[in-house]
Amino acid sequence: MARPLVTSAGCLLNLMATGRVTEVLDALGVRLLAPRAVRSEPLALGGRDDELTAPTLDPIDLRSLESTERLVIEGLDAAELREAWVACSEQLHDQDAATVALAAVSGIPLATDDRRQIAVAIELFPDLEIVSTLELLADAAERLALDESELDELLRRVRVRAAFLPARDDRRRDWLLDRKPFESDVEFV
Amino acid sequence: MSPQALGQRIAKIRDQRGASRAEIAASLGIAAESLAALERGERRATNDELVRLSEALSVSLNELLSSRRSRADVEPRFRLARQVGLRDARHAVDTLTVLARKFVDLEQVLGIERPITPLESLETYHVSGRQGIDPRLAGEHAAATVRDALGVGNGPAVGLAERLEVEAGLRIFFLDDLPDTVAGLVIWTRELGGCIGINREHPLGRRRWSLAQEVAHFLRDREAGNVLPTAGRHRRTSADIFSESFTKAFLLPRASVSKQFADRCRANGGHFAVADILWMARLYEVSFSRMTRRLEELGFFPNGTYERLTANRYTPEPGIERVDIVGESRPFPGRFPMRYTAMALEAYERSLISERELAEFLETDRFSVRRLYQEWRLQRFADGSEVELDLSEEVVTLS
Repeated sequence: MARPLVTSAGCLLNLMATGRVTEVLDALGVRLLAPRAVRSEPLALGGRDDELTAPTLDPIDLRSLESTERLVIEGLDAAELREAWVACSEQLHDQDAATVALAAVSGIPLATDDRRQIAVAIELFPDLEIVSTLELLADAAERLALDESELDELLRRVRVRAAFLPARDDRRRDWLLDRKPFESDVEFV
Repeated sequence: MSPQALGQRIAKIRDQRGASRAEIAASLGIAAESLAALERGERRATNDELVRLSEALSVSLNELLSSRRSRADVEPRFRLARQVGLRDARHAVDTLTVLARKFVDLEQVLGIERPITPLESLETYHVSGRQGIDPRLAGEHAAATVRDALGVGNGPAVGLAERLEVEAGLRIFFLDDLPDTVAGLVIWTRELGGCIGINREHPLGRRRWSLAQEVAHFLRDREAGNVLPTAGRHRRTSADIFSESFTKAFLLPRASVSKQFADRCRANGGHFAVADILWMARLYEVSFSRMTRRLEELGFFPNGTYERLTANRYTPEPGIERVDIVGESRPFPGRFPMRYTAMALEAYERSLISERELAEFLETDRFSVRRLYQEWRLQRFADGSEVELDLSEEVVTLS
């Protein structure tokens, strides 16, 4: 049985950018949970690899993840969830607040790289476990036994298609920055 | 947030939405008197009520509950030209007000206290203090004063929007969602400061002209605000005369234009051709028509020169006067003032706002805002190397 992981919209975007989200989630043995507010944000990835200098936006289609229950959307109707949601909303955008509330009240780890969200989550729910995109990807790479070129390609896609830049205090930041795709191959317009 | 502060905010938002107490109370499933008590701060809202209130008032919970959110109102006494309908004017004012509130929100997030800006404290040209002064002369005088304040000197006022933002503290937005009938507008409140919206779809020369005109209205009667029509004119009121005179003297100062004209004639062996008008229009970043008419006004051309030169004009497609297009090779300005973008990125870097909030402040999607953040954070060098900057790192701290 896959273990649940509450995901922020940002982390979901990064996972989708890998192009191997199903494999990654299955390797991690993870089922993603997200509040409706995350589902209702129109997420989009940057254009295809050959369009680096003029990125277009490709809307993300989450239906296949949902139909296979790798992504489950949760409401915040229970009184306890609402209470946590309202408490978080004083300091966070509703969507960020809903995500933290869902994780905290359900006692499920939260996947996010957003430092504002993390700061408030730690303040209100010190026991909440938080994991970053990089931690998930590093773990998945190991479990999938990706070779160097596969891993480089996966990371390159996250950086290019999700425009992902790790937080300064990410525990796996050095692991990422030491790798080739994060050294020089991205063009900025 | 205290129940009183929350109650006041609920009442204000309800009022701004034009919704009655009974209407909102019904959607919450409570009595109107109960909502009234909530608005007076006499009772605390339950979590369910807060969620339903945010839905009924079409605001986020965060907007309802955060102390960092501005709800300032703008009620300018519109000086409306008949070319701009009330609906278009209201739409323009609402659009600009939303952006101005966001600006204030960002300042609050960063703990910035808005100082009274130099132009706000300039009362010399305010309508309340000028009795019987010729508005034309006052406009010219004001133009010289503002030129001095901006450090423009005697030459062309280039980088105008940036100068007005930095030196005069005005908040200038270039809007592509203004009604076609509106060229620009200015609003002011003590909380929001002076905010100008310019129709981004207009050519460079027209945008600059509109901007200078709105600065004049700001100097003369900021409390009243102004909505500038795209076509036609206001009645020839003192306000219009002041504004027109200010704009001409500011963008095309007599001494500077005369000198350029004389220099050009001298260099060309006494000749001054249409190409020279276009060159000067580009130099001063005004339209061909404005430049030609100014040269007429200054007595360098015979009256009617502009009409003669444009007698055979035609309209290739409907829309803005294409003959006025000058300097269109320059990129369109961004929607937001540079300072606004920088503040938003700094707030994000300092973990004061989330990525989602950053995207909302910059009115874009998550991917695009990440790219913008990268562009600012990663600085590249000619040798291909790059450095990752901390946007919130203090370089110096002045005591």
